[in-house]
This record gives sequence, C-alpha cells and structure tokens, in this order.
Amino acid sequence: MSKVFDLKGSLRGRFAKNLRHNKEKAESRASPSPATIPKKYGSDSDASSDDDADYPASYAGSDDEEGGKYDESKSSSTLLDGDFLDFTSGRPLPLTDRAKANFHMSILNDTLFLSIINVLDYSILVGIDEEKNELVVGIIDFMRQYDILKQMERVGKSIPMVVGSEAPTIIQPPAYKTRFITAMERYFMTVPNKWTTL
Amino acid sequence: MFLFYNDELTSFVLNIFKKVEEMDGPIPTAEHPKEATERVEKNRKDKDNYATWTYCMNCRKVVTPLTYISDETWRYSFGKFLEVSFYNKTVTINASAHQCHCQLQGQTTLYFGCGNLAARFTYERIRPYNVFFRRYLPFDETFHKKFTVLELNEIMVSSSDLFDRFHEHIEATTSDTRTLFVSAVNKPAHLQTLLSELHVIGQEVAHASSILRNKIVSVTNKYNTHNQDAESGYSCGQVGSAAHDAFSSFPWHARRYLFLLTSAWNERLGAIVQAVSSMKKLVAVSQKLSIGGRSDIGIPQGVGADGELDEVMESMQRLKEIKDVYANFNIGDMDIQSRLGSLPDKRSQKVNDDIEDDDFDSELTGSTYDDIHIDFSEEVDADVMASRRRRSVKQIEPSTSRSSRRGLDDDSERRRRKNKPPSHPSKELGSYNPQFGSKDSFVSISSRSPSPSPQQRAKAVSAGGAVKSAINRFFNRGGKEEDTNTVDLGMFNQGRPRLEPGVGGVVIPVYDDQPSTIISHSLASVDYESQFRRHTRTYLKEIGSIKRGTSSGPRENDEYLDGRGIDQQSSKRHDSRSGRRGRSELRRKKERTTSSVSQMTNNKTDIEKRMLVRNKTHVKHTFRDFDEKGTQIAKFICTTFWATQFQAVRQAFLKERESDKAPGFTYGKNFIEKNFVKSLSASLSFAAVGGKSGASFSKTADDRFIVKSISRTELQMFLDCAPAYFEYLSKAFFHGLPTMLCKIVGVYQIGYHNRETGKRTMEQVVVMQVSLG
Repeated sequence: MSKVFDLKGSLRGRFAKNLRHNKEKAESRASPSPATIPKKYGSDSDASSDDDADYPASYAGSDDEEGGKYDESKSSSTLLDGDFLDFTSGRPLPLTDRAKANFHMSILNDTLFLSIINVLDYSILVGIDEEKNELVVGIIDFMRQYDILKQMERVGKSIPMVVGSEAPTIIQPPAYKTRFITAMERYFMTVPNKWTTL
Repeated sequence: MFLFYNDELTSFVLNIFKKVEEMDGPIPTAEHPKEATERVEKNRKDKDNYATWTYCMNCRKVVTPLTYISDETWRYSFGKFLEVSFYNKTVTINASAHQCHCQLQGQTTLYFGCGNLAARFTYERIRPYNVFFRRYLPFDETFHKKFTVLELNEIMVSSSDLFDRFHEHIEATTSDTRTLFVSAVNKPAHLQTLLSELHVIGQEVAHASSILRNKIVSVTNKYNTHNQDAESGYSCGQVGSAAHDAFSSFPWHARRYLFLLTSAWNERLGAIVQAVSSMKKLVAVSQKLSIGGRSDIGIPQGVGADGELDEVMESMQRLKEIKDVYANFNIGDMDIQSRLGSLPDKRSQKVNDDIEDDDFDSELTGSTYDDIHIDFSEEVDADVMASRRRRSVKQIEPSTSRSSRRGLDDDSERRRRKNKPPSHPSKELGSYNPQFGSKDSFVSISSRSPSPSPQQRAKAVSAGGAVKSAINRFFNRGGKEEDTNTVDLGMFNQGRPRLEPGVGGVVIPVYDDQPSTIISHSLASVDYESQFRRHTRTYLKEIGSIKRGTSSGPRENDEYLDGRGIDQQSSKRHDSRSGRRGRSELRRKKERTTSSVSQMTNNKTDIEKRMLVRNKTHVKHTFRDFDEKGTQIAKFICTTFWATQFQAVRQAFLKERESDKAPGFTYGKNFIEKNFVKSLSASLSFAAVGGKSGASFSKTADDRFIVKSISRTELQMFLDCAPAYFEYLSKAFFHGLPTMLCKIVGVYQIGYHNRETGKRTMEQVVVMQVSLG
C-alpha cells in the first residue's frame, strides 16, 4: 500500500501537511486571507474540468477546524482530499469500467443509507496498491449523527466564511451526501474498454 | 485532457495543458533551419497562427516538417483533429526524409507552437485501477500458528528460567534448614519433615520441567508436520478445526497450568520458609536464654520463648495442612509419562487422581497425541477442580493463622460464589460431566476439602501465638520478607490467571491496557454463553409462536427433528449445568432448543433471520479477579450489545469466500466465534496521538480488526440505528447489495476497576474490520 487517502469530498483544509502544520502552530498563526485563493478552487463545479494541480501555497494555509477532527485512527501518513488531487494531478483516477460501476453503486447505496439514519462526517479510505494496480477502499467513521451540537458547529463555522472559500465540512446529512457523491464522481472515472457499452 | 482508447485494451491520456512550455526561440528551427526559418519569417506578422511538428523520442529529432494549421482545420473540431491523428495505434511515421519509421503513437511527441509558446502532446498509458473491497474476512490461520509457536517458545524459555529459580530457592532453603540441625532446640523430626517436603517439591519441579519441555517440543513438531500437510494440499476440514483448536489454545492452557503449579509450589515453599525462619528465631531466643540473656524490655523470658515456640508450631501446623491438601491431589505421584499415550477412559480406574496431573494430562495428551478426539469438557472439569482446590486451600488458611481475617475471607468467598454464573458447576462437581470417569475423585475432593477447616478451627493454635503472628503479618504485609519467601512467577503471573475459565476451559489472559482482551475473555466466558443462549431461546420461542400462529405446526417439528442429535455434546453440557433444577424434565426441551440453535448456525437464511432479530440481545458480563487470599483485586464489566445480531454478522462475514474454501471443508461448531475470540486475545495499541477525545485505538495482532473507542453519543447513535444497520448489512450479505461500508462486527462497553491501583475506566468500543487490507 503505497499511499492511503482519507477522502471526504471537501477541499477545505484537507491537506495532510496542512493539518500537521495547523497542529504545530495552532495558536500563533495568522491565516492568510481566503481572498487570495484563486477563484477556480472556490467552487466544486469547475474543479473537475481543471488540470493544474499546483495549488497556490496560500491555499494550503487556509484555516479550518478540520485539523482537530482528523482521526488518529488512521496512521499519520494518511493523506487527505487535497493530497489526492495533488497525487492525481487534478485528473480523476482511472478505474476499470466494472470497478467504477460497482464503486459508484456502492457509494450511492452507502451514502443513501447513512443520510437516512442521519449520519454524516463519514469518509472513504482509499489505499493505492501500485503493484497490484488496485484501490482498496472502505467507508469509515460513520458513527456521527447530525444533532444539535453539530448544528451549532455548523453555524460557528459559517461565520468566518468569506465568499469564495470552500463550504465548511459540517453540513446537513443530505447535503453531505450530495457533496460526497459529487466529489467521488470527480475523483474517479471510468476507463472504457472495447466491451464497454453506454 | 483527452482520453483515447483503441482496439487493444489500452487507453491513453493525452496531456494538453499541463505541458505548456516557453521555448528559447519563437519557433524551433531544429534540424531543418532553412525551411522553418523561411516559414516563420513568412508568418511572423501573423502570430496567431499555430504550427505543429512532431518530435520522435526514439530518433531524438524532429521528424515532420513544421506545418501550419489551416483555417479549415480550425474550423472543424480540434478534438476531432486530434482524434484522427491519434486514433490508429499502428500508424508509423513515414518521413523518409528523416529516416524515421517509428510508431506515431507512444514514441513521438506532437507539438503545437504559437509565438514563444509550445504545447506538448504526449501519450501516457492509463492503467485503470481495480477496486477491492473486502466481502469476506477469513481467519488468518497461518499467522496464528506462527504466533502460537512463538508463544510456546516464550513459555519454554521463561518456564525453564522459572524452574531454575525454584531450584535455587529450594536449594537455599534446604541448606538453611540443614544449619538448624546444629541447635538442639528444634525437633529433628520437624526439620526432617521440612527437608523431605523440600525434596518432594524439588522433584516435582524437575519432573514438570522435563514434561513441559517434551510437550512443547512434540506440539511444535506436530505443528510442523501439520503445516507440511497443509502445504502439500491436504485439506483438513472438521478434523483440522479440532486440531487447530487444540493447538491454538495450548499456550493458554500451558500458562494456566504452569501458574497453578508454580503458585502451589510457592505456597508450600512459603510455608516452609516461614517455618525455618521461626525456628531460627527460636534458636536465637534459646541461645539468648542459654547465655543467661536478660530481658531488655522486661518481658518474662519464658513468654518470649513460648511465643517463638508457638510460632514454630503454628507454621509447622500450617505446613502440614497445606501438605495434606495437596496430598489429596497426589502431587507426588506425577506419573504422567506412563499414561500419556493412554485413552482418557482409562483414567476412570484411577481414583483420587492428581489435579495437576489431570490438568496436564487432558490438555497435553489431547493436543498432541489425539488431536481429533479431544473432549474439551474434560478440561473444564480439570480447571474447575483447580479453582476448587484453590478455594479449599484458601478456606484453611485463615483458620490457622489469621483469625482476624477469617470473616473477610469468608465474606469474599461468599461474594465470589454469588457472582458466579448459575451454570457454574461449583456445587455439582460430581454430576458436572457424567462422561468423566474419575467422578469419585471429584466427590472425594469436594467432600474432603471443606472438612479440614472446621477441625482446624477447633484446633486453633494458642491465642498468644495467633495474635502475635497476625500482628507480624500485618506489619510484614507487602514487605520484602514476603517476596523472598516465594519465587516471582514472571509472565505466568500476568494476564490475570486466576480468572474463571471460560467455555471449553479456555482461559483468555486479560491485560488491563488491552480492551480487546477483556472483550475476548468475556466472549469466551460461560456466563456469556448462557446469556447468549437465553437470548436465542427467547427469539426461537417468538419465531415458534409466530409460526404456530401463521403456518402449520408439523413443519416446525420437522425442523427440530432434522436438528436433533447434531449437537449432543453441547446439549449434554448444557443439561448438566442446570442440574439443580428438575433436570430430566428440562432436558427434552433443552435438547430441542440447543439442537435447533446449532442447526441455525449452519443455515444461511437462519443467519439472516438472526441478523434481523428486533429484540435487544445485550449481554452484560461481570467478572472479578482475586488474589491468592481471595481478596478481589479487579472487577471487569463487558456489555456486548446486540449479541445475537452481531454474531450473525460475524457468521456471514468472517469466513472464506465460497470459492476459496478447500473442497469438503466445513466449519466446525463455533469455529468462527472461536477465531474471533482468538483474534481479539492479542492486540497492539496504536501510538496514541490522542484525537479530540483522546480515543484509544488498537489493532489485533493478526491485523484483522480494529478496536476503536467511541464516545457515549456515538454509542447511543449506534444503538438507535442498529436495526437499520443490520438490515442494511443483511441486504449486502444475502441479496448482493453493493456496499463499501467497513463492517462493524461488535459493539461493547467495557469497564474495569483495579482495586490495587484504584484505576477505573469505562469506555465504549467498536470492533471493526481493518479498513484497508
């Protein structure tokens, strides 16, 4: 397993190095203004069509509480959404058509189930096995329900939000689900072979 | 970015934007400067024109002339243009002027240039990934075998070390005792008793050491040959799982056996050392007297000497009692070797069997000589007897020396009895297992062992001595003197070896810092088993009533008929446990239930049914650890949530894929649960970086499961959503619903209170599959 990613579908502060960085200077840091983030990273819609993976350094410094929530259950080498895009050069990771179909269906099922039981904050763990050319996947951390506390957290997080910055990671379960699915569509793509039908 | 694919199963990504580079000059002149320069000159004014050329990476030169893209081309789709030029994989460049016949695709780079900028088009082969998600999580038998061998090695090394220490200790005490012969104060008979006792213990140590070594060697050999069999494609099936059980629980049994044996030696040695030291004191006092010593503190000389004498008498008395107790178990007659090869039945002829011997015999013979026909229930008996013996020893102890402690001990004893699961056969040792031959010995022990205590109580030693020794003990308690009397048992004292044995006599060591061992111990416990069965019965009753209400009765009966006799052993065991109540009456009912229970485990749809049971089937199990004096030193609580449903999840998930199974392989009874327990019995804690909640996090040693602590709210959430979760999982397991959720295979709340350190914890944990791998 050469690399392990923990993907949540949000780019906000989802860099592993950013987290470490955050932890180190948790208090003595003036975060760069979100305004410095180029517009194209601001919204989900055009990120997929984009190509350049060299995120501006300023983005990596963007503030988020996500750092604290980073689950220690994964080893410190676990990488996050931002690193994933770095790794794939912003391109979706190619999957065989069958794998993608299965993957897609599983994601739909699981996220639907989780949103029905009012759970969010789950993430998908993707381990990349270069030798076998295989992704080992699993959805984890599906134990947090959307409750009053979460609602408070959401309001708290929205306050410092400036136009153009990534939406906070705390949102209602259906929205979380939608964002998660959209992100997975963006992160992974089908590679057709000659038997692939539409 | 464009994606192409062609007839072969190869696909390429065409990078466009990534490789925009600034060129040295406006447009390269490369190999044919004249031509290019001319054209560039010609078009200089028109900077918007795009030029294209091809560079061959094999020939390392530009291999097509610089061509300007016509307006017509632009008017058509640019993508189409690219597709046309890249579509056919077999196209070769036929630029004879440049002597290049390389393949266009894969070996050349197409450039588009405009002004100072050039876009490089390269081919990059795509290797689409497969996605792997674990649908089954089989037991890693290879790992556990290796682990067991390592454990056996460790036991071998530390036990031989321990035996050495015992020898040293015995030698030291022996020479100590010999010096006492010089003085005439002590009776030579007493000294002789001590010496012979020491001699006996020494012999036992030597004997046990040699036997254990032989055992470990033969078990390891057995393992190796078994391994070879497995490698050569020999499929083991049911037989293999029995052998596997025997082998994998061998270290646990060996540890426990060694602990019982060595702590018994310690007890005896402790008594001897005490006798010796009080004799020494007596010598010292008498020497003082003979010198004409005056009494410094004004105590009459006679009294002082009497006190010492009392103490000697008392310790001799105690030694005698302990000796008597152990004599009941015939330790001196450790004639194991001669009976190793014999069948278990033959033991029935031997009345008054040695307890340690029994332990040894049933476990060791079982696992090495007779892997297939192991009657685990015998081991239960042996272990139960062992704990019984401890108790009887304990009962005597307070009566002799510490009258002040008696109340406390009895109290804890009573508590302990009360805490025992009702099924625990403490009162029906004789009837516990009808199969077991040496029934007489059980009866004799249980009847004999309590009997000494009243006698001893009557024979209470002289009051002065008792009080004095009580005070002595009080001040010496926990002091160094105690430690020098006995031998440190090292690893055999760890893992709380005094805990009640579980189902099949298996004793899972519990380590306070490994939550998974607490779970493991609890799952293997008799109490858990009986509570679990109760839940199952309730459920079956409900199913039954529903069936009776809705459909015809006979079918139900057929079901029972099919299952009858499948599980004779367990029903028997079950039966004997409830011995106090009207047994024969209950028997029929139980046989039916247990057999249908066991039938359920075999059937796929039954697993699904159990997974969808709506009842709460929580099992709360409390167990306590006591020290050798019977004082409670730790208390553990393990609540298993949704026991029935999670057991079904494990049945469906923790197995081999059907196609990977060796032909003819069937899982033995409780195979999956046993392996689950085995996995949980050893775990490695992760470097606790401490998340928000400082959650603990560990992984089982075999890399199968993660044990993760969760918050109370998360537990509550899970408990609320559990029915939905099980329903979802059942769809995934039995109806092909694609899913990638990491399976949770157990939710527990575990707590412990360590009275020695005063540490208390209560945490909620989930056991889930390792997310990757």
